[in-house]
Amino acid sequence: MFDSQILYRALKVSEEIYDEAMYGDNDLYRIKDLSHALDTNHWLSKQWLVDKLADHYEWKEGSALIVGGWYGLTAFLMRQRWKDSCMLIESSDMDPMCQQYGWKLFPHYNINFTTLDVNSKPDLSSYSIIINTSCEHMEQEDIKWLISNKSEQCLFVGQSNNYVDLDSHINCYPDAGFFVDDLELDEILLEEELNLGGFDRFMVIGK
Amino acid sequence: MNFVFCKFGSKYSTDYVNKLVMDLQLVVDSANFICYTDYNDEQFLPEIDVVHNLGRPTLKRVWPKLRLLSADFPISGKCVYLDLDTVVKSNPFDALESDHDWSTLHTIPAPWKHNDRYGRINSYDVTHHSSAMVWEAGASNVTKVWDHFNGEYRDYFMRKYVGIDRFLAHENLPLKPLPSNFARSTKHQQEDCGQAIVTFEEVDVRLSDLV
Repeated sequence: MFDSQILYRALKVSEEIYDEAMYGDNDLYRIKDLSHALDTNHWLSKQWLVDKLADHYEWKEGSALIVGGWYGLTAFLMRQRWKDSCMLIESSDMDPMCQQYGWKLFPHYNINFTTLDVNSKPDLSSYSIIINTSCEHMEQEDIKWLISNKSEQCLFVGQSNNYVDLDSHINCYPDAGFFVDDLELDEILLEEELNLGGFDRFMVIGK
Repeated sequence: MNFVFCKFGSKYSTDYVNKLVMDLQLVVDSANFICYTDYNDEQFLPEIDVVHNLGRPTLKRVWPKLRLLSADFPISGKCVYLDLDTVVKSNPFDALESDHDWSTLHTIPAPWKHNDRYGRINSYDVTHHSSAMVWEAGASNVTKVWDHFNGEYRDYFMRKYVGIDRFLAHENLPLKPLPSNFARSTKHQQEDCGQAIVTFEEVDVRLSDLV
């Protein structure tokens, strides 16, 4: 499951953050955040997404936008499945530091890291896949905006969870059914749950 | 003068808000009472101006408290905020000095939080708490607290900080300590020196404990 090269780079980035903390910007929590982003449950849930997406997206080429992409693990795992550069992969997050550390963690995988706030209403017309694995962190209004403003044939892949005990989880659901119903997709291709120990992660693929 | 409260979630009932208002009415001649809440207003006393959840960004637990400091929060003038697990002993406005700097957010000094285990500045050095806060609505030094929180790092802040006390301290936001006669901590300051407010931070309380 884990890729030792990625974990090694995470250690090197952690070293850089520590050095920064000694001489400049003191934000050691980034080390913990990076560690969380590469936690087992994230590898499992992102790999789960890629495996299921491959069942419903049969083309080699395309353009994928990942919103709330954090430091880029979803983009990296996607690139392992869609190795050809004719699949454009963009990993975005509203936190600009995710772009900076994303490039460092995944430097040679032909992934474009960007800083993007969905509330800024970006142009979605060129994407064939839109992925949001951070629905629990995002305003429902913004997630629905993504769905209603993507092109008709563009796949939407969303993940959320029922882990309500974190302050930043502002948009959790009790189960996959409630999550999917609230998205009001025109077509649902997949609706599944993955038990991750103390909580469940839900996934929907649709249009 | 405004007394401001924040009731989000179910930890405290509306009875806590109503009790605070009734206690304040015993010690102040006239004041506005404002409660920011995600709750039905029917159970609040009629003299309380209820400000319903202002919407996005969606916040929960302690974080809605920061919204009180935003430029779009419908309030003007001098404000004293009290946590719902506090007790009023006398008029808090009287505990402030005549030249109090209203343009800067003030919180309660908590020197007992100082932990010298590393002998230098470290993440344990948060020597204030926000069971009570004092400010003038709309002051630029105050609204910048909300603006700083509500930017591109908002989600990161809510992961990084266990509460707003650390957020305020570690993000180096404009902050000053309230005078020592403003509030007394039940847990850390046994001696009653006539402070206007008694706080119960780090203590589980029931309404009967506050009577």
